[in-house]
Amino acid sequence: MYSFRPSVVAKPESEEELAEVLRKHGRNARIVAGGTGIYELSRRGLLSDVDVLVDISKLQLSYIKEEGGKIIIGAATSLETIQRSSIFSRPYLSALRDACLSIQPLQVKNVATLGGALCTALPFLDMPVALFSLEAIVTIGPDMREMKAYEFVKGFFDVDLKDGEYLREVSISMKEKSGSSFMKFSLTSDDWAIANCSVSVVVDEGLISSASIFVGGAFGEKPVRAVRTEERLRGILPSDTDALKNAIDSTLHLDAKPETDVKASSEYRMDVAKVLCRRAVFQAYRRVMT
Amino acid sequence: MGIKIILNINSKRYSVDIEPWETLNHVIREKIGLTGTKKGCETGGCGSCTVVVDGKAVYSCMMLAFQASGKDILTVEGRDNDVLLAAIRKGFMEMGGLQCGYCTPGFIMSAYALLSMNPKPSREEIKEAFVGNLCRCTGYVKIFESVERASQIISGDKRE
Ligand SMILES: Cc1cc2nc3c(=O)[nH]c(=O)nc-3n(C[C@H](O)[C@H](O)[C@H](O)COP(=O)(O)OP(=O)(O)OC[C@H]3O[C@@H](n4cnc5c(N)ncnc54)[C@H](O)[C@@H]3O)c2cc1C
Repeated sequence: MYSFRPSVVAKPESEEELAEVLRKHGRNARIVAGGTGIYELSRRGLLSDVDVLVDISKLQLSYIKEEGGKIIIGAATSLETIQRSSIFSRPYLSALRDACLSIQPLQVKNVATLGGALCTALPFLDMPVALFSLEAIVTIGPDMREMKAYEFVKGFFDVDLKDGEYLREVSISMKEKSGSSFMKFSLTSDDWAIANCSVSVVVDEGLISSASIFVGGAFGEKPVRAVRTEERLRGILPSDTDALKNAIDSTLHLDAKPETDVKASSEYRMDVAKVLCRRAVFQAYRRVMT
Repeated sequence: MGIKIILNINSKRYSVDIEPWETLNHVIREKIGLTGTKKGCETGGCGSCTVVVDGKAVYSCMMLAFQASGKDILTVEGRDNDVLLAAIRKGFMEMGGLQCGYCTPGFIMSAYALLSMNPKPSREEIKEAFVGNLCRCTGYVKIFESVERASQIISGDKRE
């Protein structure tokens, strides 16, 4: 049933070796980090030309550091490690923790990595949406190329990696007076999101001075940035619930165009996304204020 | 073809020939013959394939066998004289923590990972540890009570 028949396992011991293996085998090589996404990819027949599996567990890519005004997370850091780290209970970083907590099985989070969650590049995953709203930057090895996580993810199963390249780390700049929040809605605790939304706000004198809002679920090939909602929220007092509701209800659909599928109609998805967005903005704001 | 790896399971070393795409679940059951670990949904979620790798609960159906090479793997068959495992088994027996039994090895391994980190978990913490394990006979309350009983046994408490 599955055409997933690699013949070789490579276990590079250094990043130079990793780059060399990846360069040599091109699309026939595939990194295995936690391995929890490999099943999903092979089931969809996307790994049929993979001959070399590249186990990156020997590289020291599992870490959370605080350096030069940034939080830096190694690509091979497990979701469980992130969830447990007290760093992510800071208001401006909380969305990432929310997203981890929203993924249920511990057996998955114990091995699944942040790098794997980004590189899987499915539009209904949770970690990417949170990273996008936190304006995370990815560093790509071996040349230490940097780019926005949002641009790194190009579309369905598609990330901006060339032959020989790999995701090395993800960094998030520290922010003053900022809070974030991630919310999702799914039909069962174990299912993909019907919609999810991650919000990061900066608050000045009790009002929102800027917002970064992303919506995922099934809104195209990758989560979308709700630019017009971000603009409309500037200057708003979120505890004025009517103003908040109006701002979101009148703008979110201008950027986020949900699809209809077996789980939900486009209209339903849009309604859910608006509610999630409202709650996430409010929670992000509350986290800065308390 | 195939590659040779060493798996340390229940403190025993197994040298096995595997294919790179074979899951840990497949190798444990079909190549090593430890069939206590079950095969369930094979998509991650039912939890009947749970084993403990380096102290953490993982789905053996979602881990490729080579990923576990050199790591410390524990299955429901257990190692000799494992006090914690014995206490969990006793807890499940005393409290009737199973009906058909298919999910039980997975629950026992998730309980093992939990109790080795946290010997006195609250009911909430037990529920959290079991989020990735399903019991289709839906006997969850008995399962929670079994873990609480195991926790009492390891801490030497008398039955309440
Ligand atoms: C039962 C189950 C439930 C889940 N529930 C949720 C959920 O509710 N929400 C959610 O968002 N996700 C969920 N997931 C998905 C999960 O988040 C991903 O499977 C996981 O994060 C992938 O990480 P991994 O380390 O296991 O990746 P792997 O499986 O090792 O790799 C996945 C892909 O990323 C590539 N890759 C990995 N690391 C790198 C790197 N450093 N550089 C370049 N490429 C790399 C691999 O080559 C592969 O293509 C679930 C998964 C399972 C199995």
